[in-house]
Amino acid sequence: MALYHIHHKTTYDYQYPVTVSHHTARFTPISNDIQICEKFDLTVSPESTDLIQRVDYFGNQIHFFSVQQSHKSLTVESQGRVRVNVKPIDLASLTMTCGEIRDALSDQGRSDLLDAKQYLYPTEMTSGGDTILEFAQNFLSDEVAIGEVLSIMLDQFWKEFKFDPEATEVSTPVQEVLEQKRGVCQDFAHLSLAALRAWGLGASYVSGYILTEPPAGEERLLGADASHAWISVYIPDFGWVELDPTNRKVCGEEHVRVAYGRDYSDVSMLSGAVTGGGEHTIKVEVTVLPMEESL
Amino acid sequence: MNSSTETPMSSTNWMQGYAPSEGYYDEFLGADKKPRPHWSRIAQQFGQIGPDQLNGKVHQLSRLIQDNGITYNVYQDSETDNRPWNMDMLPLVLSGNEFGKLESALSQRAHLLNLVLQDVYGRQTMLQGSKMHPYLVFGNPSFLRPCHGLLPPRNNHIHLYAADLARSPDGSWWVLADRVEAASGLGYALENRMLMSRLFPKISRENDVSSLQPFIQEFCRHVESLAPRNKDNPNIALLTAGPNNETYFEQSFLARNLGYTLAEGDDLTVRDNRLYMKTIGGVQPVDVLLRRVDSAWTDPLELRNESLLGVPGLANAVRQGNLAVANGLGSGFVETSAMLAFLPWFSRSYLGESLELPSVATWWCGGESERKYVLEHLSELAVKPTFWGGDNKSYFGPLMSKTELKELRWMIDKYPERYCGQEIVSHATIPVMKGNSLDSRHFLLRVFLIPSNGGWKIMPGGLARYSATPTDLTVSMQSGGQSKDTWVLLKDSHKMRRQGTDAGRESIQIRRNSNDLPSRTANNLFWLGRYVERAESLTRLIQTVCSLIIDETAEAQAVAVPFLEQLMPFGEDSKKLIDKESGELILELAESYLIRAIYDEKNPESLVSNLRSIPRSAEKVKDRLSVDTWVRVQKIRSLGKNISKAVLSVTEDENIQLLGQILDELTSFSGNVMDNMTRSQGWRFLQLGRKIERGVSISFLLQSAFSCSQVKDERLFSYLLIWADSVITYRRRYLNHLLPSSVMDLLCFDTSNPRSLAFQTESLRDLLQHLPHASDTRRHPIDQNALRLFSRIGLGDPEALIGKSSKNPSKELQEFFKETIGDFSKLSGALEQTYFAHIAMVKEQQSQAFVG
Repeated sequence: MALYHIHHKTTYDYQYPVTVSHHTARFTPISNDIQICEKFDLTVSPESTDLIQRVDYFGNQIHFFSVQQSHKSLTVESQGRVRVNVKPIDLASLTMTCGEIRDALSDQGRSDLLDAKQYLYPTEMTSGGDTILEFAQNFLSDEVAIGEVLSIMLDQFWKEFKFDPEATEVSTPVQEVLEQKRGVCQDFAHLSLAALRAWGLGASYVSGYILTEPPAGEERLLGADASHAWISVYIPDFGWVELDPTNRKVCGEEHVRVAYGRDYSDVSMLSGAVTGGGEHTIKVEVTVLPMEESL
Repeated sequence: MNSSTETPMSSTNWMQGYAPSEGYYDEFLGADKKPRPHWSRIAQQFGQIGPDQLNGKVHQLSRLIQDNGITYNVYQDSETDNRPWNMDMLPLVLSGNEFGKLESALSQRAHLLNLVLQDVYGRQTMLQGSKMHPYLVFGNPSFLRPCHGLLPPRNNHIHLYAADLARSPDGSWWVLADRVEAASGLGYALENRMLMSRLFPKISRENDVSSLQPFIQEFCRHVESLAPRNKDNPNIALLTAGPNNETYFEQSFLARNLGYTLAEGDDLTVRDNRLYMKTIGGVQPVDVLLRRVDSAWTDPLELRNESLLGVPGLANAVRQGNLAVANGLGSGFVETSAMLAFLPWFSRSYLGESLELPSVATWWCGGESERKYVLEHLSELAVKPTFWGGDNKSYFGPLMSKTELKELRWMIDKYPERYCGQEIVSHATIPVMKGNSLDSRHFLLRVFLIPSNGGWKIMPGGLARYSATPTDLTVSMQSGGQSKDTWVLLKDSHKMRRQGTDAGRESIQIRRNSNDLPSRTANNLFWLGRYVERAESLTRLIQTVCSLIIDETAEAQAVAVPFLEQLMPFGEDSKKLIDKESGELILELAESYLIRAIYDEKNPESLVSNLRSIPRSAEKVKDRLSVDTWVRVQKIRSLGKNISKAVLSVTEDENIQLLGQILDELTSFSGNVMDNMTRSQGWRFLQLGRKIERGVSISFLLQSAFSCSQVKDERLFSYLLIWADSVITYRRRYLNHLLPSSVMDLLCFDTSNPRSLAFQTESLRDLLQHLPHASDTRRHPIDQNALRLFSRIGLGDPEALIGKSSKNPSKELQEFFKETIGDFSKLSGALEQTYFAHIAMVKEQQSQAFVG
């Protein structure tokens, strides 16, 4: 059991005034069988008069708002309290083979697996192709148990890929990530999804936060954390297994889930369409603060 | 027009001797080679038109198409190329009884498609019940997740349904494709009818041809009834992708005929979850949006975020119940090729009945037995992508080589779910005119249905399209196909009811509120006016200097200085144009400035830059310009494109001729605008731009001329008069005495001289009175600036300005022009602020990448 206070502040500074802007925000940590968002608050400055909240197609909380007064700076700030209660799954215990999983998912009659089937097909950001299939063969095999496959996959990312924020952008295709073997959490999530889907497995993209530990003997720096991304793989008759290819981890209580989707574009935390503004700079401050259980 | 031209003159019937290809159903001739019963009278009447009259009709038709600017844009060609519309003069004639059956069969289909949409964007029982393969939904780019749960108006996704039909050899119809995303063709069908009723008023009147107007009126009422608010007088807009869209003409034609405002994404904005149109009268709410932009591109916030065609927040406005969009967002889902394979299935399971009108046989290769069948029959089938998009294309088995078939087979084996096999169906033939005889072509018929009284109603007509050659089976306007009007003869039972409606006259109703001019359009017209005037004034200036250099002696050329000053980059001193010792004009330097002013592409003020800006602005307001005016724009464009800096000296004949040609084109453009453009708000903005620009250039030149050191040289004034095209007027008034004050009076304060400053301000006064701000009770900033300008010009006195001692440029004169120029620019700014301020482009903005 872990309890977190999450603070996420995004500031846009524009070169010229923005006359109108419309935004979608997905910051609210999701409540499901492994975590509960106990408190959440979203503030927008300058003030928005038309904030609306709804649940999107994938079950995530989404906020819509617009700012209709001229502004040169926009701040979107979210604060939430989340309780996570989950034990990391032992990959060795997952013995169903990839071939069996694929057969189950491709069976049109199994409408009980619809939830996983919606994450079965490649998207623009997780597109397949020969190089992806070749990469997938490094760890995917029809005869091998899924637990073993996923564990090899995690090792592969850990050994062969380098975390490098300079190497990629939001739009970098997975093929390029594969070629240069560099990128950030989002790239590794997309690439692993592309490989799993090319093999006929169902897996989703997860956006959220991860607890970082300050270097030994140093104080936790506020605002120095970042949002994070990983994946969730479906195994029939078992359920979802969340994996963090960036950190070679089976996700547990260090991870706080915000939204699930097919890829980044389904769950982008903040996006918008602005009128005016010219160039802009973004400043993001994230703090994931573990809280003591108070009685 | 004149029905007497339709009276029989020749005994030879040119329609005889028609021999359609064997093996197909022919619309005109039955198996016995005789005209089918519903054709007999029409064929007789058409057949009796003599060759000369027929020829006359051909010319009348092309003139009508030309005059009405009926075009179809062809994607492959450059953005400016739009092909004139093609219509064959012989209609496709169908009997009312046959059309009645089509109505019933297609109503079932429209109903079914609507149910499919309700299900996929609602409870998804087809997926839950394993009746639809998940790939066809979850893998389908036309399934738009943000539209899930969006309640369409009246729970109906489809408000205009179009189907492409082909007729098989046994005479029965089948459906080749369903069109609901943006059912195009309705405008062209109306246009064809208008053309036919102009060409053959008598024949169409005498044959009980069903009128299209009742259907159109019902469609309008239906669209109006969708409004969630403002039900009494809803505002309706037609969302277009803009002038480069292939069917832009019909979109603007439809908008005009239905009385809706044609709007591009940039013309609209969402505020507080309501949709508004940005017009020169302020923002005005929109209640219903008829869209011709594909769903995915309508809202960059929730749908495709790279879209520049949509309006951020549009889907939310629908979700909040403030806006109805027709057809419903996401309804393109049912156009998925693979859907054709499953419709019979859906029909049985939803409706408990079989499809009344079959689709062309289709097999989705995602199913194992279907794949096997397709692979076995590949060389006889067409293969289509399951989902359109990207570089997906269709394949036509019979036309493929062995290697190509092998490659396709390999792709289908590898990615079976991505392909559908489809039977290649036979298309019936129709006679088309070829000179003075008939030829046969394969054709497709697009018909339209709308919801009506709980059911569906078919438009008694449609758009028939036929192939480019007799043997060609593919029918596409993109690849040179042509069209026909479709005449549905009234059912016998309806003939009695046809009182008062005149099928021969398809009336057109146009409604327009004068203040609903979109701001973007007003802005483009304003700048079009400014660029045209700027180019004209510049051309005159350069011509004046050129003739001055050619005609005058070295000593007299110095009077060119104030003219040249207008062409020099800001901040450069015109004194350097004069050789200090000789006092003569330094020709090489003057020429370099002239060359720069004409040919330099990098100089935004140059003539070539202006000539290129004109078509760019005009392109955006094409639907506001008459056809002739548009022809002038094309001429200006080609001048701007072909100008090259080949000349070494501006005095070369080549250069002089070019300037003359440019001036001619600009003047014809202006003449066209004056003669042919309705005096709408749009016209006013174009004129405002011109008047302000002209006022500014007159002021700058007079300021330079009256304060330069050559001010005592009489020749300066004669060239000023030449520049202002006022030589004759001046002579008539003042004979040959060139007095500075008289020249100043004529060019500055004479309200009857179209090239005087006062004439511009008087025109502006008149134009401004008609703009929306004029009805404000408070004094508007536009008027504040305008009044200051008007009174300065109105009260100006040439004698006083020039001053008694004309030794030095008087301070008053400098001030006068400086302030005048300043006021013109403030007036322009106030106009922009008031009428165009909210038109800045919308940009997509993704948040930061995750950096975890």
